[in-house]
Amino acid sequence: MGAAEAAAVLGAALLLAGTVGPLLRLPSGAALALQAAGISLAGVAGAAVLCGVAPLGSGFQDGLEPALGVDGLSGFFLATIALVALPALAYGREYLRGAPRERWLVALGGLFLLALGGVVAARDAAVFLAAWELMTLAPAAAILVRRSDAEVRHVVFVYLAVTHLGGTGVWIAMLALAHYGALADPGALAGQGAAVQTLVIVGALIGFGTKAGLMPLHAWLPRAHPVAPSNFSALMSGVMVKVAIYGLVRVLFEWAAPVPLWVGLALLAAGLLSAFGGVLFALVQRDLKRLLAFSSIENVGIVALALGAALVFLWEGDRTWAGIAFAAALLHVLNHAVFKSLLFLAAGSFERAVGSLDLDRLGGLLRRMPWTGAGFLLGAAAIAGVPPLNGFVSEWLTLQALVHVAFGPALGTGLAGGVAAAGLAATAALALFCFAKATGLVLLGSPRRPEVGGAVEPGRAMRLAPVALAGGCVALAAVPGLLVPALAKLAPGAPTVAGGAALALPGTGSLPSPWLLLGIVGLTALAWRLRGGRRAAPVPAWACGQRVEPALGWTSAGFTKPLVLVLGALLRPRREVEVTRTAGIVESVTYRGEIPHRFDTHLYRPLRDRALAGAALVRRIQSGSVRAYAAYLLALVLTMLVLLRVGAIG
Amino acid sequence: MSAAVAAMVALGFGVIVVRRRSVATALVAVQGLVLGVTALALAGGEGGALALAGAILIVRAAAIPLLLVIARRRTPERALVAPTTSVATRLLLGTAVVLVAVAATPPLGLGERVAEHGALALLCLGITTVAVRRPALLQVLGILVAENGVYLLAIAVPGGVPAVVELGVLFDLVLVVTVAGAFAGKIHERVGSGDTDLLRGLRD
Repeated sequence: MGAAEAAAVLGAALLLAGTVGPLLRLPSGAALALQAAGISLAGVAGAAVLCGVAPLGSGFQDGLEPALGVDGLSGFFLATIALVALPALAYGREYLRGAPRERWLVALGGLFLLALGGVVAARDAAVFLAAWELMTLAPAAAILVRRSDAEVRHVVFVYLAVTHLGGTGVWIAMLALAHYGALADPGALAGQGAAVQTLVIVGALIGFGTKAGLMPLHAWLPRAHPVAPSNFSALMSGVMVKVAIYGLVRVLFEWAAPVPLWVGLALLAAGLLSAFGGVLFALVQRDLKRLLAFSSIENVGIVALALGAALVFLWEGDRTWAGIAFAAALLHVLNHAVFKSLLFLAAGSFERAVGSLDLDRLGGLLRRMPWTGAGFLLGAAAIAGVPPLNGFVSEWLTLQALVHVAFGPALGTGLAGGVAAAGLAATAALALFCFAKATGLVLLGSPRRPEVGGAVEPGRAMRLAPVALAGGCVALAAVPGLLVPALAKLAPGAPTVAGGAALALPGTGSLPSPWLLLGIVGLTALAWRLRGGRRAAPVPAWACGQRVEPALGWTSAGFTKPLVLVLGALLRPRREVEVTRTAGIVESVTYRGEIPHRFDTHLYRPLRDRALAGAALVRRIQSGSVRAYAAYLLALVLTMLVLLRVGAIG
Repeated sequence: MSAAVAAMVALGFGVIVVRRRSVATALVAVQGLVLGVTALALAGGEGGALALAGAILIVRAAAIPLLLVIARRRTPERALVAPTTSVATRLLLGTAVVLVAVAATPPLGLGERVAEHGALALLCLGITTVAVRRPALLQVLGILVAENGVYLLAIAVPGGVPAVVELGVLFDLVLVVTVAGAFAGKIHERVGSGDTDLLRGLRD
C-alpha cells in the first residue's frame, strides 16, 4: 500500500469516526477535528493522484460488489471537497456551538462529507447510487434538525421531491451503464445502438442536471440553499452541485463516449439558459443567500457551457481545444467552489451579527466587520469575474473556448458557439452588476437599520474561514497555468496543453495572470506610497442640497431598477402602490413590488397542477375498502392466469 | 390426493357461505386437518418428513384455530353484521371464480395436475372470501384458505420444499394470525364491531 492509498484509507476512517463520534457523546470539537483531519487526508491523496500518482483502489466495476477507488478526476473532486470542507468545518466549530441539537448537526455534516466523497470515490453502481441518495438526504435532515416550521418543511419537501424525481434519471443511467458493462469498459455502450446510448445520456442530463441546478431543472436550489445552516449552504452550493457535474462528466466523457453532437449543443443551450437566467434572477433578489443561490445556478451554467464546448470540439476531432474547454470547466468548478463557499460563510456571519439577510436592512458592514467584510468583498470580486482574480481566469478560458467554437468548421456549431460566447459575455457583465449591488448594499454606505449599527465580528474561527478562502481565490488566480495542464490531461485522449505560470493557448495568445496580479499589487503599493499621510477629507456628502438621510440610500430594488425596466418584458415585475388620501391630502403611501420567478409560475405550477389532477383521477380506484382491494387482487390473479393460459406472457 | 383436494375446496366453499364465524373457523380447522393428514400420507414414513407433517397438522388444525377462537371470544358482535351479498350470490361467485381459475391453470409442473388445480382454486376462493365478507375475522379466514391452497402445492411438489422453508412459512402464519387477531381486537375496541366496511372513513 502506497502512501497515498494509506492516506485515503486513514482519511475515510477518521471521517467515519468523526461522523459516528458525536452520537457516542464525543465532544463536537473533537468530532469536527476528526472530520477535518479525515477530509484533508483524503483531499491530499486525491491531489496526489491528480498530480500523477497511480490511481488508488480498484477500477470501475459493473457487478454489485462494493468497490472504491480514486483516479485523476475523482482526485480533483476529492481535493476540491477538502479545500471547501476544511474552512467550513472550522467555521462550523464556532457557528454550531450551542446550537440546539449540535451533536446531530455535527454528525450530519460528517455524513454529508462521507456521501460527497463516496460519490466521487465509488467504483460501482451500487456504492455510487447509495452515496448519491445519502448526499441528497443529509442536508435535508440538517435543515430539518435546525428548523422545522411549516415553511421549512415545505422547502424540504420541494427539495426532496424535485431531486428525487430528477434522481430517477441518475438511477436509470447508472443501472443501464452497469447492465451493459459500460462502467468497466467504456466502449461497451457504443455497441448497444443509439437507443440505449440516448437513454443513458438523457437520464444523466436530467438526473445530474437537476442536482447541479441547471435551468429549467433548478426549482429546488434557490429554496433549499438559503434555509440550510450556513456551513451546510457553503458545502451544498460549493461542492454538492459540483459532484453532480462530476457525474455528468463521467457519463458524457467516459462511459457513454463518444456522444453525438446534439448532447454538446444541448449542454450549450442549458448552460446559456442557466448562466443568463441565473444571474438575471440573482440580480432581482432581496435576500442575500437567495441571491447567492441563484448565482450558483449561473456558475453551473458557465461550467455547462465549457463542457458543451468540449463535447463540440471532441465531435469536431479537435482534442487539444477539447482539453482546454474541459480544463476550463473543471477550473471553474474549483474556483466557484472556493468563492461561493466563502460568500455563504460570510453571509452566515452577517446573519449571525445582524439577524437578517434582507439586502434592504444591511449596509455599512465593511467598517463594522472588517475581516468578514474584506473576505466577502474579495469573493464577490472573484465571482463577478474581476481580473485578475480566479473567477476571471476560468471565465476567460471558457470564453476563449466558446469563441474558438464559433470559428469552427461547421456553420451550425459556429453559430451556436457565437451565441453562447455572446451570452457568456452578457452574463459576465450582469454578474458584475449583481455583485456590485450585493457588496454595495451589504458592505458600503451607512446601516439601513439600527441593529446593523451594532454588528460586531464573530469569533476567530468564523472570521478566519472566509479569509482563508479569500487567500485561496488569490492563489488560484496567481498560478492557474500550473493547474490547467493537469486538468486538460483528464479529458479524453489526455491532450497536452502548455503549462507554466502564465496561461498560453494555441492560436489565441495568453493570459499572463501572475504578472497581472503582481502588476496590480505593485501599482496599488505605489499608489499607497504616493498617498503618503494624506487622508480623504471628512466632509458630509452632497445630496442635491437635501439633508443626508438613510432614506436616500440605495435600495435593492432601486439599484436594479434600470435593468428591470429594460428587461420588463422578460421579468414581468408586479408592483402595487396604494395611496391613502384624506381630503385630497396624501396620508400614506404603501408600495409593494416583487418579481415573480417565472419558472415557478409558468412551468412548475402547471406541471404540478396536471400531476395532481392525474393523481386525483387515479385515486378514485383507491376506495378505502379492504374488500375492494381484495377484489383488485383477485382480478389481477385471474387476469395473470388467463394471460398465461393463452400464452400472452411467460 | 384428489379426494383430499375435493374436500379442501368444498370446505373453502363452506367458509364463503356460512353465516357464523365459529362455524367458519371450524371449517378452516378441518381444512388444516385434511392438509396435515395429506402431508402425513405423502411423507411416506420418512422420519424428518413425518415430524414436519406432524408440525403442520398441529399448527394448522389446532394452534391457529385456537388463536382465532380466542380472537372471536374477545370480539363479541352485538348485532349481526348484515352480509352485503346473499348466500346464493356468494356461492355463484365462488363457483365462477373457481371454474375460471381451474380452466386457466397453466401447467406449472410442480406436482400432480389435480393439486395444481386445487391450489389455484383455493387461492382464488380465499381472495374471493376476503372480497365478499365484511367481518374482519372472516377475512382472516379467507387469507388462511388462500394460504392452505399455496401449501397444498408445496407438499405436492415431488421431493418437497426444504424443511427450513416449511417451518418458516408455519412460523409466519402463526405471526400473521396473531397480529391479525390483535388488530381485529383493536378495531373492535374502537369501532365496536368487526365490520371492515366501517373502516372506509379512514382513507385520508
